[in-house]
Amino acid sequence: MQCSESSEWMSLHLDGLLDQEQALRLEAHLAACEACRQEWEAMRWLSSFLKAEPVAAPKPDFTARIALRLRQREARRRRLHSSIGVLIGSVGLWALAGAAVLLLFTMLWQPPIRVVLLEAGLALINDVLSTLAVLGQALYAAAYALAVRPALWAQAFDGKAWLLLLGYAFLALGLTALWMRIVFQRRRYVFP
Amino acid sequence: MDQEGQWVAETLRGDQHAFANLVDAYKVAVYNLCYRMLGSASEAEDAAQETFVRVYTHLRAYNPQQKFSSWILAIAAHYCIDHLRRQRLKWLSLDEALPLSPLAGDPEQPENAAMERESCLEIRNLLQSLPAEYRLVIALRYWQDLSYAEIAQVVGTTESAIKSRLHRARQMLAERVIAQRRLETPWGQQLQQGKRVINNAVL
Repeated sequence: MQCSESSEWMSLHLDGLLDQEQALRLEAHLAACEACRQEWEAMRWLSSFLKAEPVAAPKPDFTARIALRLRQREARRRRLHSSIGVLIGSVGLWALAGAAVLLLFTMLWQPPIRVVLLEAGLALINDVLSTLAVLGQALYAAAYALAVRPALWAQAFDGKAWLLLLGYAFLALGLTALWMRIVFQRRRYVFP
Repeated sequence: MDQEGQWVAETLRGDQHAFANLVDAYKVAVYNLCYRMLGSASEAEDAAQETFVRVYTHLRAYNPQQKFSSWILAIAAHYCIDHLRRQRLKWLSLDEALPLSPLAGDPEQPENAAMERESCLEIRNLLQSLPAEYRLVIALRYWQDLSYAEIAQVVGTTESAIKSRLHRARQMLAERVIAQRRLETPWGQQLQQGKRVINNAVL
């Protein structure tokens, strides 16, 4: 038997994985080889030394601290989710409010107010407002036409402009609905 | 279904008590493995806690065909090896002029006092002299009392690889013990004393 092989067998022998014949061969080699015998003794001593060492145990409040850590983690996750919800919801509300303000403004942007503002010399504001008014009027005209002549729905549905409008409305409504849901969930969480 | 399987299922349904039962059942095994791997009570505590947080967040990935103990010990083992690797990188990147305070252990840990028996210290030193992969198989063999097949499952390798790692680890430890014994003989003590004299003269 080679010394390298004997060393491998020593490790297996410590784990009780040598059969009787192998164990005898190992013992024969150990009896003949001083270096291997020394190694075997050290290994055996180590093995019993390690076996005698008790298992190290954590502090008694270990489980409670893990529960606390998991709760903190969950709270952090909820906070993050609700802030994302509020952000998206605000965008949705602003989008809806923007459309409403535009429509309202178009209805109000009639000569008396317009003339007063123009006379006050607010040319720049007037330009901006006029541009907005054109947009609002287009939106208003489209909504009015669709309301008065239902036959237009089919035609409008073919047009890309209508699809854009529909998409915008859905986005705004969807975002707002999401926001409402999150706010209500949060309320349930805070006041169960 | 066995008890563990039931606890896992209940935890997945959101039952925190079931998870507390799982923690209670495995905390000693996980903590002990972390302690043997990292060699410090405070680091072991952190590592064991992190292991259970990972177990909780990845519980859906657990395959019930696998033994739960193997799965959980594998998570702890990977965490410790990663931690040691990160630590080594940190040490390598630090300025060499820093004081070597980590060698002094962590005396502020109250439970450390009880742990710091002489044999415990000696075992810690012996284990820390091994590479992390070898330390892992020794810890799993001696304190978890796992078979080669079970160790292979935890480490994620073959039984023959475990066989050779255990052999190498034991061989390295034996060499250290033999070297230490040599130093304890009268001749060895003289040698030590000689070294001390030289050190004092030079430093």
